[in-house]
Amino acid sequence: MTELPCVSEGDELFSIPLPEAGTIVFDPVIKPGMPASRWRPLLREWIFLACDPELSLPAKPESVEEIITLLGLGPGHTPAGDDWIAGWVVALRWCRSVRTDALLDEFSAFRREGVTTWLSESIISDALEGRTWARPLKLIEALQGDFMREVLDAAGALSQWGHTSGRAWLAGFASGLETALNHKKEIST
Amino acid sequence: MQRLEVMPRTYYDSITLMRVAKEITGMEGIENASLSMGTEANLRILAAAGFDLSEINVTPNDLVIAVSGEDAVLDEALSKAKEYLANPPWKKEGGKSESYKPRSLDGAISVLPEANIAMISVAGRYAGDVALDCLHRGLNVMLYSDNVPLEKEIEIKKLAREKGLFVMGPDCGTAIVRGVAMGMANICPTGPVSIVAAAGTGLQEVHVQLAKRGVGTLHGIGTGGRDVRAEVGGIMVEMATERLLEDDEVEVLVVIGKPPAPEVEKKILERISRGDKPAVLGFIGGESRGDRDGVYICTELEETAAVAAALAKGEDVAEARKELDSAEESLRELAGKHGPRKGWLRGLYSGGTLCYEAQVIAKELLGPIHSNTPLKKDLKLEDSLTSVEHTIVDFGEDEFTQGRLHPMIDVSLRAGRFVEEAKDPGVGVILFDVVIGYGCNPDPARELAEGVLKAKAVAGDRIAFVASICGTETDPQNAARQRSILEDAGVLVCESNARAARLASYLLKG
Repeated sequence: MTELPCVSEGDELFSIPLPEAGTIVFDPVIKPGMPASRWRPLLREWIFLACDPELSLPAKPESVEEIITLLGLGPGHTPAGDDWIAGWVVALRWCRSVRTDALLDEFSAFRREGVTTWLSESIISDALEGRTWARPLKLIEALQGDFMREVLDAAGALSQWGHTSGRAWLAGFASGLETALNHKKEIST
Repeated sequence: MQRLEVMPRTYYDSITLMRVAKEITGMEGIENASLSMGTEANLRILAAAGFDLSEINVTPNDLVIAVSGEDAVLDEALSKAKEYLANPPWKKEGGKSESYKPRSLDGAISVLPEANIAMISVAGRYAGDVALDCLHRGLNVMLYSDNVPLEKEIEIKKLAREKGLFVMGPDCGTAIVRGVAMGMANICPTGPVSIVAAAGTGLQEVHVQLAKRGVGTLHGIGTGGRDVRAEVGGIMVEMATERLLEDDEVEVLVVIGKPPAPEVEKKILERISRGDKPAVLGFIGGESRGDRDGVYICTELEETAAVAAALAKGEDVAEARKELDSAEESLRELAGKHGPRKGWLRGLYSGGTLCYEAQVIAKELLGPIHSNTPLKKDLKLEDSLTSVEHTIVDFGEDEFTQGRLHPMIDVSLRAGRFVEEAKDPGVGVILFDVVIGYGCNPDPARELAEGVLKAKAVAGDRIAFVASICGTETDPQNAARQRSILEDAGVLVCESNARAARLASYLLKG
């Protein structure tokens, strides 16, 4: 099958046969890991992208309740608040621990449907299930390594995603990483 | 007709403002467009350009858009200016995304942990603390920022000395490290000479004059103009001199700048005298005379380069100086051919050290020279935008560069000033510098030549225009091409700033 089938509103869904030997060209699953310690200063800097005038998001929300208030905040198909949350969720899924799972459970419990756009809801739901898009995965891969060019290129590509989406996503991602890594440090000490 | 609009608490970088102004000025029906921060200096410039500021309320943190021309298009011009600011038309659409650029010092160090120098270009009131942060992280500093308080400069340099690190600046526009130019600098060969300078056009002029004589430069260490004052004590001049005397790759040491405080000069002379390599001291307009035991004393930038080049090539220094004397004779002949001119000299400079050297030379031939950076306090201009008798103005001074591009990047203010000076029936000669190289205007001669032609339309043949080009043919702007553009506009172009100042003075002196 080389083209998607054409469907209209009201059509009954049918199952699409897959080829027997298919090549996976993209795997959206976020595999557990953590960034190389070298990049911590860069991550701390990304937290404050939230303070850019077009975003005006809180740099360090204090609680999950405060994070919930970001849902639907801002204009566009994916409001900046949702992008921040998507990044935050991806970070907690990546640097996974008992603590990050608890935070995400708390978030899921507070979360209500219908407060934001369908696209944002999909993105956040996917992230909660441990899946994300290619650009974030490329950044995650780069942050696990030691190559400056890969990190800067991946971060650059993300930060230029949409008008504000990329920066908001990076800010939330960095905030989530800070929480996850601080928790890991507490455990190890 | 004119319109002005104030955008409160709005900041755009000076390059963007200049480009938008250029786009708007190019619109049909528009005579003049200016976008600048509402600093005192910029408001004076707007007033001098004929804009009525009485109705506007503005602070230095506000952006002022001013347009003049046909009434019917002014609103459109204002609207276009704001549209261009929000969506610059020259920014590429689509294409490859740009790499992320770190916004913090720690972020940058995490990306480039092997870095050993930081270049700082933030507002002066913050730059000192940023420099301290860098020094605490083991980085040498090139402090491009100006308006750094003197006390902060002393604090930074004392810490740097403790740590064995360099602080080049403040107001260091040019530096060269192992042949790699930083800031506003020229494409010149690498070679056996190294220079310690205040770090602006003095360094550039010597660097370029050496290149013209086939001699390269290895290091050009900028110390900032105040380093040789008694309060700072020559901390960086001393450190740089020490380091270069110890460097086996350096065969000739050059130290240039304005005459230092006596105790600093003594320290420099003592250290150099203990060294085992020849040194050339070029203290512009200094009192010291007479070469001594491998230390050569010069008072002009080209002379400094000529002597250093002779030493590097193993040639006779006296012969090099003789060549400069015969060049002077040629200037007198040229002045005879194009002069004599009646009236005042007006110098319009972008380079501080070049402006200073021009004043020193012109003063000897013409008498007192007024300036915004005068040789004597009593010759300070009351208003830098209004010339008095013989006047030479440094447009690179802080009053012109707060919230505004440096005149080496934006030549429009000087080009406009040619016309204003031409309206004064007492003006006989206009002298100016054209500095090219990295970071400078991509084609300064073109806009300056347009200004010359407009001035000639006002003054006819009354005024002679004299210039020098600080740059080489390998610079992006190509010195030869710049020269050709200026000569086509009727400008007399000289090989060095010293020669240009001398020719300008001879034209008036007769």
